[in-house]
Amino acid sequence: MTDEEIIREIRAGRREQAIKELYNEFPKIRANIQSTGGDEGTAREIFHDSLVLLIEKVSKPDFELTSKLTTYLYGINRFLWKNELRKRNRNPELEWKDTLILSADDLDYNEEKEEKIRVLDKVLASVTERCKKIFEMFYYRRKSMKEIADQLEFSSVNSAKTQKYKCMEKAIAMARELKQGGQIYQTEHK
Amino acid sequence: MRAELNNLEQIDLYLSGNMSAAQKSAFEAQIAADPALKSIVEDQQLLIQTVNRQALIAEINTIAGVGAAAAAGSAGGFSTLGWVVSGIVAAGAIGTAVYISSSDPSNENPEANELIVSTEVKEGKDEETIGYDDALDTNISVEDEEAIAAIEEIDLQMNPIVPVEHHNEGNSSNYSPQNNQVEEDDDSKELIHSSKTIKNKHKDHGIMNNGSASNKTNYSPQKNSNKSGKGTKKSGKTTNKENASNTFVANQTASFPNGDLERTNWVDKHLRYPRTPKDKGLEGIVKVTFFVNPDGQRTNIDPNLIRMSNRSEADKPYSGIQILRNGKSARMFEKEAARIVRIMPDWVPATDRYGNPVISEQILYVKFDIEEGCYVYQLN
Repeated sequence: MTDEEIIREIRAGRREQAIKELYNEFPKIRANIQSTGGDEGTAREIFHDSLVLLIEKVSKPDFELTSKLTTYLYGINRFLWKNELRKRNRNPELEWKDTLILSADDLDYNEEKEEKIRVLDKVLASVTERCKKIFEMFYYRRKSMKEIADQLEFSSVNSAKTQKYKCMEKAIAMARELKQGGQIYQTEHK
Repeated sequence: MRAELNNLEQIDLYLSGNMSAAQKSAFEAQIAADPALKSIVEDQQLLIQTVNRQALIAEINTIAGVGAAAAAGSAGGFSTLGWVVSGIVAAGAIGTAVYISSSDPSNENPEANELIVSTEVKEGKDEETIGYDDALDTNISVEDEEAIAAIEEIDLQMNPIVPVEHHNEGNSSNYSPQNNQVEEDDDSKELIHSSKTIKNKHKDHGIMNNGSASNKTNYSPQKNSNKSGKGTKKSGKTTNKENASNTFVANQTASFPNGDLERTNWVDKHLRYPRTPKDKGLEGIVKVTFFVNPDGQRTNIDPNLIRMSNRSEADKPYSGIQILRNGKSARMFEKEAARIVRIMPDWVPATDRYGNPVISEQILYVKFDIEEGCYVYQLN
């Protein structure tokens, strides 16, 4: 697959082939991470995170590739691994071949947002399975509301839409309560 | 409601980038003028990103699992194979004993979690059935039991939602005498008097009575033992899953080296109760999902707190929001559960049907209990 093909597949929501193709780079990246103190598990986690970042980035309509896609992927991995090393209070020079030096800004990566997403992970864990299913089908699989209504056996498209709205409202309310709850919690314990 | 629904659709359309240029600039003007709308858009955007991320991670993990297993199969070679076989032999020597004793801690803690409760009930039912048969001096041979077991499997395939055990049918009076119907009495007599007809009898039932009264009575003991309706549903699913996976020849379960008893001892030594929740009297159960690589290393360790409660009201699990409010404690439980899985010695990996080690997904439940200490359960 060429870089253009991979990007096209990702944008069309057909990610499987693209992920398989990119996964071929894992052994080299793992070797790079292992040579600076990471173990197999950490390497895999970082690589998976890098795929997530890459796919998110590529999916944006304004994304323009300025290097080979694999070079870009190495750049993300290098960035994430450096970030991880910093958390472990280590800061070795990473001399990787064929890589880009990327900053957090290049990747729209910021810890504050990552933290918010971690909180939302928990929120999503507490919404009902049905809500999760609707979200996943609509946003990730990009199914139409008609298909969702059929597959999840809603009586009509409108009732599926209403359900989706209620799910969204509930999730956002939960996220907000949590934000506030967090603040109350902090002030209580000062 | 109508207006709000419209609003949501507008936001979806805006965020998906499918608005026309004119629509887009109009909507952006609206956002700029309305801070409440702006914050909804931001919240929704982040939530959608989270939804997509979770789904994407799940997809990557699936692909990685398949890819890694294939790679391990080809690269594993004989040395790894030999290592695993000897590992299994060593574990096998105490295998049976460990299996029985490993269920003991869960008996001491029936409240541990719904899934465990359901397994216990199932075992209990089997024992009772056997006891009942013995008491009536019936001669049900091993072959017959095997036949019944085989038929049960067919039943499960036909009626996948309800985990029915048909050889309990005639004995339903054990559980709920008031439901004992004349028809069933006849059945049980026949069951006792001529063991030869059992096979046919059960076949008939397997086909005919999905959802009949006797099914209900069979199911009721499980229902009673689970306090919440949700739990019942869950446990039903799990039981089915277990039955389904048992039909494969490959060993899909990776395990702690030297068995469950060893694991219990090891965890006793290494698990530390996190301080913040301990000081607040909080207890919890963390479900840890992870991969066991062919070399026994654990990766992609994903801890999720599934239950939290205060020690003074242990039977009242916290709601989602209460858990979220105790986010720090929840995270500490999860961190500790993940840590314990990470620092364990190398596991004995799962194997495919040729005996080659393969990557597999495993689940451990880590229970933090202030008075009774901490336990780790593996359910596969």
